[in-house]
Amino acid sequence: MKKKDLVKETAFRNMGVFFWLLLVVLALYTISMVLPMIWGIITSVKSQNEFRTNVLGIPHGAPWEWKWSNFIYVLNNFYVPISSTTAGLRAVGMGEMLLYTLLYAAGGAFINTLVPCVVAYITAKFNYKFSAVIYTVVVVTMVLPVVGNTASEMQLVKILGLYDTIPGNWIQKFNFLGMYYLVFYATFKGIPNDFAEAAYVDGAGETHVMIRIIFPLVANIFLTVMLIKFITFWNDYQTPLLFLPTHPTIAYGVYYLSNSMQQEFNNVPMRLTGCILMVIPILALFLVFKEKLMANISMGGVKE
Amino acid sequence: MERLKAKHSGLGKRNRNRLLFYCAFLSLPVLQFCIFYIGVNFNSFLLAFKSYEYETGAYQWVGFTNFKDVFSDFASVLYMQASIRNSLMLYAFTMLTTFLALLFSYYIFKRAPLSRLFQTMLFIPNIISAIVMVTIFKYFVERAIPAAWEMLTGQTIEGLLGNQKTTLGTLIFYCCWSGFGIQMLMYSGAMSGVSDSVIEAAKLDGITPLKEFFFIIVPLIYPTLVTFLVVEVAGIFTNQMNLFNFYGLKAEYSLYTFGYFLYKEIQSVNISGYPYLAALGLVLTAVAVPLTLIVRKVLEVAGPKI
Repeated sequence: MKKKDLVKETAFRNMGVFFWLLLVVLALYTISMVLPMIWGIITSVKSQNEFRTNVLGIPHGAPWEWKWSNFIYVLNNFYVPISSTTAGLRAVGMGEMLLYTLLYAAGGAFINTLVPCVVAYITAKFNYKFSAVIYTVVVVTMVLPVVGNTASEMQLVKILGLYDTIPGNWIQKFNFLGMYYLVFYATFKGIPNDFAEAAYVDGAGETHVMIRIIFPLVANIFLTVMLIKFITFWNDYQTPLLFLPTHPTIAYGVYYLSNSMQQEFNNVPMRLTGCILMVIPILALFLVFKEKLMANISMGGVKE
Repeated sequence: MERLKAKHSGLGKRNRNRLLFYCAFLSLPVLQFCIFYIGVNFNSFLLAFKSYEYETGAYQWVGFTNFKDVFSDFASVLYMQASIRNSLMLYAFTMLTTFLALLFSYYIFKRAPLSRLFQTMLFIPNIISAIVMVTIFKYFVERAIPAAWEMLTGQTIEGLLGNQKTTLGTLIFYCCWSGFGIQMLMYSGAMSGVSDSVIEAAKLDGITPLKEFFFIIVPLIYPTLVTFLVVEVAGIFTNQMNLFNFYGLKAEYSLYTFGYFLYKEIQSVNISGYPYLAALGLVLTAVAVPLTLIVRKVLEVAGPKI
């Protein structure tokens, strides 16, 4: 009997009490997840006045009469006031926030994927003693937690002139530590040396072998890791809030919006509209790459 | 002889090129590591023994003064005591979440009905930004649930976050509720690596799903489970319990965790506050490192032997 048959045996007709119980719990979980989302979407197309009198129900009138204009209003009018010593007080609108988000999320994701990938390739394929040192350093830093060094990092970043600049943030992300180094390392270890040897015989250099021969073999994993990082950085507002205070990203904007005292945004429908707007791109990305992501991620990392 | 020399010189050239390539591509990442890991942590260590002097505009050595302040705060300050209590409580509930995540992963691994839908739903909180999830959840429990309760029973109740009796419970519930995604993928990934023959043999012996879960699956994925539980020990000192997402800088003292306190303080203090935070970080690291190693050892010794 194939494992597939054994694993796929659980259908409705042969489910025992154990699976039925789990099904009920998971169904309740799904409902608890979907219900607030639907409520949030419905609320985002209500006016503040309607929300006061109708918290739970769907908005009055036909769907085309609902307050879809909330979305246009947030897109056009929402801004984060930023004060800096050089430029004074200025308003950062959605367009500029999107630009910062792309620079922060896409740039950071690319760098933060490329560096572990390159370092993992070099340490996996070059048997110098220093390679073993790097591997040990990665494992040790993962196992032993260091708490509360952000104050020191902040001080250092300011001294180095990297504070509040996007390139400075990229330099902060130019590190190879973490789980994904190990994922890449295991993958490169598993690739036989024959490919590289054949290229060396043909006169290829080390850089050519790495970029043209080996990296295409791990392109799938590279893209998956980069996608995971992109989603993480897109959603992250606490790092920009600390290290990029005058470069608000969209997540930073939503944080500001959810605490905003600006009269027109200091109400539930507008705040939820901002949330829904932020979720749409990332949810679309997730739905497009869902199979790839769900199939490839394992152990918070990537399956080969 | 000439050919041998040429061959040797070719190999030497290639080795030299390899070494050059090795150094060239590793130098920048290693430099970054030296500055942003070793440098940052070393500086954090030094900072813990300094204090900022406004008159001179520089840091001065003050010995163990910051540590004295930290320890006296542990004994007397409300938010420090709350941080200890809440951080430990959160870890305990993470254990419960882990058990549920294992069960859910098993359900998905067995490809039981609707497992793909459940897998997506469990993973959704990892895709949607925490600030968005929290904002929707916050208004849902503050506005929608009281409205629904009033509609159903005719009684008015406070929101779950507004009511002090339910605030902490609601926050912990949120952390558990939104924390299944990565664990579920991690465990179901590990389960898919369980050998065919083991499952087949157990099946032929007429094993029930419950027994298969407890006596075959859990022991076989135990190393993955240990990894997660050990990593979560560090979470005791870094987990914010989503307080910053819920309250920004304005969470009540009684709700604090160490993670929230450290992040909030960095947000709100100026450079004169850094030494105290560095000292607190050092104290917490001094607890976290041995605790992590002890937990790992205990889990390895107490775990199933395969």
